Amino acid sequence: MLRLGIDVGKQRVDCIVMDEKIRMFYVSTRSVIKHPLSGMKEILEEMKQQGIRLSDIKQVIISASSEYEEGLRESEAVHVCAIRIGSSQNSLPPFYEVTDIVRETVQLTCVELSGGHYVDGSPIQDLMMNEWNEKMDRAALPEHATFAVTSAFSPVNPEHEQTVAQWIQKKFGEGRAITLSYEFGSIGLMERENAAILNAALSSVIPSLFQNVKQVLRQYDIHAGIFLSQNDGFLMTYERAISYPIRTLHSRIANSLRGASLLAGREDCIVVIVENKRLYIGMVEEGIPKLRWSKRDIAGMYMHVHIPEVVMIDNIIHGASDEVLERVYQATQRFQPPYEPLPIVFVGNECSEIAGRFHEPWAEVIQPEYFSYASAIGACMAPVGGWIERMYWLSEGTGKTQVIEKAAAEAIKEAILAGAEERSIALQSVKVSPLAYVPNQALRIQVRAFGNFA
Amino acid sequence: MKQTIIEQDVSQFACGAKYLGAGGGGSSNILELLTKRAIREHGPVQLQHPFDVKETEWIIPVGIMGSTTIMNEKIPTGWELVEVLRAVEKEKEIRAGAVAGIEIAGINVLTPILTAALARLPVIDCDGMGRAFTGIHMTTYHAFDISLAPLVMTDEKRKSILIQSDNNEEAECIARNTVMNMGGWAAFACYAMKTKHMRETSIYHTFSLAWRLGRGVKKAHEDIHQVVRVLMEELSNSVYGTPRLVTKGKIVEIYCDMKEGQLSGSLFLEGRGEYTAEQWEILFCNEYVLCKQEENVRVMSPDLICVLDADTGHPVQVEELEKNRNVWVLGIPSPPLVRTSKMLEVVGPETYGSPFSFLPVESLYEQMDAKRGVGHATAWD
Repeated sequence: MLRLGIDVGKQRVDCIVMDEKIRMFYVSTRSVIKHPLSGMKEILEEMKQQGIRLSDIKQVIISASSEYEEGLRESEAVHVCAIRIGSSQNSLPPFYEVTDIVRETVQLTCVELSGGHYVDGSPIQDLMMNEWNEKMDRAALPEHATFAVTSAFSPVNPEHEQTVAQWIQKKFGEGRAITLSYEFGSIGLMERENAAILNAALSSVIPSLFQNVKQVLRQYDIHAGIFLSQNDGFLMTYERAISYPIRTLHSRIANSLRGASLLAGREDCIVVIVENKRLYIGMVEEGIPKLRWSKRDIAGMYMHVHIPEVVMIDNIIHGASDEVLERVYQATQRFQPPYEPLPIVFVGNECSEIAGRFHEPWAEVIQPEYFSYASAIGACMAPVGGWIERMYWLSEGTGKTQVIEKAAAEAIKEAILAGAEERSIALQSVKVSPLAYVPNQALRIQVRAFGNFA
Repeated sequence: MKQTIIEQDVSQFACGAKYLGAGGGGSSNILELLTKRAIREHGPVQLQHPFDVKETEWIIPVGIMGSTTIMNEKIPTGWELVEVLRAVEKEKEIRAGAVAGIEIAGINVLTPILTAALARLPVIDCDGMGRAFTGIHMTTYHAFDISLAPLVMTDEKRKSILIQSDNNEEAECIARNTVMNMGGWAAFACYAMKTKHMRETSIYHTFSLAWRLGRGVKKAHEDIHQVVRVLMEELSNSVYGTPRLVTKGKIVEIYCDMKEGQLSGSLFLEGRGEYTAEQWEILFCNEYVLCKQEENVRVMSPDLICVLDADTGHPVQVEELEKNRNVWVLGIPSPPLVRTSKMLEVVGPETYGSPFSFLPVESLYEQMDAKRGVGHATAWD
């Protein structure tokens, strides 16, 4: 059984074929010329000539990063109906800071409904069916419109978002793509709303981007499941990914971290990635990249995305100068525990020079074989996974243990939806944190679950 | 001095004010955008020196209290601020000639500018804290006997509450208890006073300072050495005075607890670089309160303890604290008005349960240097 990994970067596409034991059968790199996936046929042809039995490929894993603007520009009509459910009207409209390209390509209809919840999950005001009907009739949406629904404190109580989703289906039919913001977890209405809208826009574009890939694979007798890399480095099925494209935009670093750990054979390590004149320093714990919420500029808007925690060092004009080495050393110190330093693994196609000159008296320094394919390998070997982040309000009758159990069950459901086999699912992490400046009944819970391909 | 606030200045105010938060103040992208939009739609805002306003004019300080986390979810429109301003005017039967700041940190550097833009009024370049504090009675206005009441609070559904009381501490206490019932945050206006009193009781030029800090820090491109240089230069040239580089270290432990909606606890630092082998502890209660090296106190409230991320030069708020982070700690002298005895009654170290009485950061270091018998070298880069 083989896996085909396709790692689409900004400048090059890496392809690898490997088995579950990380044995490599084929590696190839091509620079991106037109559409990143246009070279697929050539690559498959080459593999065939090298004697690889393409029909043995059971999974195709694609990690693509930040190609959303391309995708949006190429597509014609993208229309998103943004529904905001809250207690104040006429505040900032959604997509306020978005880049001109996205503003021009995504037609936006904004509808404000009264409703939403307080921080404790109780309703501010009930939804009103007549307000909904009246405003949607006036909106005159085109046939192809998709929906993004955002409600105040939906990570605590998603009820209003779910109700509106039902109303949408009733009014516009079952086929419409609907993004509910609570699934993105972060607190901050505008950010969640922008993420939901971008997701809704992309979900109408992604299917056409991958149409060719599916056809080409079939031509070469590859009947494999297609999986996409998520921002946290876990995989999800293509069918699931088309509903959550925004979760697949930043997977490259997570994949490189995981790949480095696998190649070096170190479950816990600090990783230095060197590519495209940039250095990224991050950490792997028990084989899994260390993640955090980070503010990212996506299409001009700030959004919180759950991606690996990395220190980035820009512009290495001087190659491996003492200054750069010192900065790398300082950055690794950010992750080193106080005692027993972790090994430091160098990967990425430009890592050799720095790895060669980097000396650390206390820690092991490793530059593994296939270092330039770390991202593709990491993607290929990743488990299938899902995560959820919710807020809970503790009260009498709803204790901490109960809400954690509830969250865990939801995360397991997510992992199944992402394509994991139910019996193989394990919980990777359960993180419980209080919310700043909010009474301590409020808990934020993040759970990640993963398993094998179903 | 800065005189006209245009749209491009807004992010500089927001960025600079973070350095004056002493770990508190919160942050809000939406408030920044609302302020930019208000200036774009209603025109630039005039920032006036306290002596450029007529003595008989009424000034009303405004702000937002409660949880910024909740405010980012139940979002404001900006008009709540105008509403509280108008309500105080109505209650006192006056007309405001300008707005001023309550605190100069976090989101409340923007709230007066946003109010001013929407209400077409100038902002006076002054505030009542010179940093962030948790309670609205912790101001120089209170220390010099300005009445907090009438205090008006309004939420995003435009529901208002008026608080009348002769006792400022009581008024603050009612407001604090009310804000959670109002849904977690509220715009408020209080301490209405004549220009004459504003001149006597406020800390001058803190808005201009926040703007200058923001401008400098943005040019520093996340290089901690440059950021510290900017802070040293701009603060030395202000009512605050020259900051001290207290230590550089790695956060090895954080103890944190939520008590009555306050984030309190302490963090432990292990010295790095020229501070290797030093053990530090910083106590916090929404803001950083006390900083000590083993048992020796080095900085105490109301002086500002500023914790900077060594990788980016960004200030680290209490809510953002994380283990293993490398940080630099600065001690910034608080403005003289904040160190007066009545002010210390509400913000001095004793109010946080500390056994120490306030000593300025400068004298703590003088004592230490005298003990060592050396002149302290300003080794901050």
